[in-house]
Order: sequence, then structure tokens, then C-alpha cells
Amino acid sequence: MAQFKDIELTSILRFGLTYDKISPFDIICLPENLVGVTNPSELYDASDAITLSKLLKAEGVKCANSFDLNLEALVFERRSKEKWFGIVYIRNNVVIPVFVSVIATLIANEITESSKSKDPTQPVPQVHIELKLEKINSVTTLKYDGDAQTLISILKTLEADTVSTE
Amino acid sequence: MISQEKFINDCAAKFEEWFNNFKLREYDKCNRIARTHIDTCRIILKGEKWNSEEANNITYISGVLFSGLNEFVRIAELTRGGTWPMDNKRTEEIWKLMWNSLERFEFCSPYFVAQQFDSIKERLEELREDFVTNFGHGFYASPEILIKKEICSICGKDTRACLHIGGNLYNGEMCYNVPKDIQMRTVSVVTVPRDPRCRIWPWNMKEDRTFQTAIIVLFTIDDWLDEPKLEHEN
Repeated sequence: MAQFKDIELTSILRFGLTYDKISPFDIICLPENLVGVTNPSELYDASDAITLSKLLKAEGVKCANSFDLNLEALVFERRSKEKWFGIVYIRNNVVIPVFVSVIATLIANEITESSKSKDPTQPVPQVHIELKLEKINSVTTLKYDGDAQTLISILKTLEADTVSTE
Repeated sequence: MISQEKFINDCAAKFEEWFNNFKLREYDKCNRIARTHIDTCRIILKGEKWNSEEANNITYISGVLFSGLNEFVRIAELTRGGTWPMDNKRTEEIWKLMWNSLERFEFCSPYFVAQQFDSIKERLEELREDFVTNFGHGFYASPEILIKKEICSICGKDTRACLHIGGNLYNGEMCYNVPKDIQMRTVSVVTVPRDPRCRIWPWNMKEDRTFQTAIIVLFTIDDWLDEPKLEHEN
């Protein structure tokens, strides 16, 4: 029987999910607090994660969100300029270029605003994401809380690595 | 109903007419032009609509544009004389109008290109800088909301179950994520807000360090689609 390769992802078993249920998907946008809660009624999706999953689907990526996985998660909306994408589990490296392009579109405004800012002391909007990348025998986790421009640089490196690995 | 071709050709002509009157400070004429155009857009979109999605989207965009222009005229009236930073109530009103029109123009910008439009947006950016000069970058109320169910305004399904994207136009209709059964968790004071209209102004701060401010403003760029209120209803 197939198993989760990440100790934290095993926590979703508590919510009735199996590896087989998620195996048809290349990217899974998981509830942001998946690891921390025990009661399924407390799960919530970050509102930006919902948009992310829809844009990925529109680009033809096999992407699942909590609705597709029958998780009755709430929606957590933070009325701030920051972007919260929750936990994004990438199971197939082939989709990384599309993922990077979609994320770049979503945070384009934040990048523009940072570059337009004339006052360096003025804080720039932050982006929050926990990426889980499935490798052959492991899952690499990248937890990022920082500015949009740096995230894009990191993701571009990730994209380049994928291309060179191929 | 006005023909689709005539309406679309008229949009640019109306804008030029509005701009020429604005340069002459004929604000009443500007308001009349904008209101008439907004009424036409509302009648089209609330009525039978065109057969073309593109034409309906253009109608929506021009309604948003002229609604922003209406606010821009009001800003011009309120900032005339340059003494507005001394008047707290007026400052608050200009701030809200500025963000309303900035939001509307930002939406229209990818679709409407004109040198005169650029000069209007530049004027708003200058006004934004005037606010920084006079009042600093400011602090804002920013609530965190838990939503039990969120519905897509286009298809009525759970927002996670469809492919409509919030903020995109579909046949002259804006897609919104409509929250049902909401619970406010916390309200934070932030420096980079999603909605700058929730600004905490120093004059609204009491001696005991409590303050009054809006935490959510129910603003949408297509509020002009609602029937205008009669004078006695205001």
C-alpha cells in the first residue's frame, strides 16, 4: 500500500484521506492548518489558496483543493494586502513551471507595489506559503514568509532545477 | 435600446467630452455626462444585455470608468484651495473617494488607454503623496474572518467547486466570492492593509487610547449598478 512520504502529511489521514485518493492529482492545495488541528471542523483554507487552485485547474493542471478531497474546510480571509497560500503539495515536478507562472501572476501586484515604493522604510506586502515537493523517496518542505520578489527568485531556481533534472 | 456599435463608439467620445469640460472646471457638466453614461450602462446590463460578451464587458468597464470620473470631480471640488488637510472630515472624505477612484481606474487600466486618463491617474498618485506628506503612511484596521461557506456570485456553487475567478468579468458581470455565515476572529492594526479605507485617523483616537474606525467597508467597483437613491432616501 502506498504511503505518505512526509511525516506531517500523514496527519491528513486523520481526516479520512488516503494516498490513493490524492494520487490522481499533481498539485494539492491543502488547508493551511492541516497539521495543527485534530477536529476536521476546524480546518480552513486560506482564501488565496482557493484562487491558486482554480487558476492551476484553468491552466490544465490536475489540481485538487479541499472541496475535491471532500474536506469540509472553512475559508479564512485575512483582510490584509499579504498573500496566504496555505500548504501546497506538488507531487509531480513537471507542473512546476506552470505553478511558478501562476504564482507570479497572483503576486504581480505585490511586486509592482514594492518596486513603486519610494520609501524604503515602508513595509512591503508579504507572501506566505508552505511548499511540499515530492521526491523519489522523500518530501522536501519549503516554508516561506517574505517578500514576493524573493519568492519568485526562489521558485525560478526550483524551476531551473526541475528542467536540469529532466 | 441604443445600438451596440453606437454605444461603444460613444464611450471614447463621452470620455473626451468629459475631459474637455473637466479642464474648463465645468464640474456640473462633467457630472451630467458621467451620470447619463452610467445610467445607460446600468440599463443595458440590468436589462436584456447585448448578445456579445465583449460588448457587455465593455459596458461594465465604461460604467466603472465613469463612476471613477464622477468621484474624481468630487475630489477636485474638495481639494480646491489646498486647505483640505486642515479639515479632518474633508480629509477623510477625500481619502475614501481617492481609494474608490484608484480602485476603479486600476480595474479599467488594462482595457482603456488614453493620455488624458494617464494624467488623471497621475493626479491621483500626487494626491496619494500629499497624504503621505501630511499624515504619514498611517495605520489600518484589518480583520481576520472565518467563513463557513463561500458562494460564487456567477454560478452559485461553493467557490472551490467552480472555475470562476473572483475579480474577473463574465459577460458584463463581476465574479465575487459571497461569504455566508461569517465569524470575525480578530482585528489587527496593520501598515499594509487590503482596504486602505479602514485607516485609523489620529483625530479619531481618544485619550484612553481607544479609537473609532471602519473595519470593513462594503465598497464594490460596480456599486453604480444599484439603482440610484432618490434625494429623500439619502
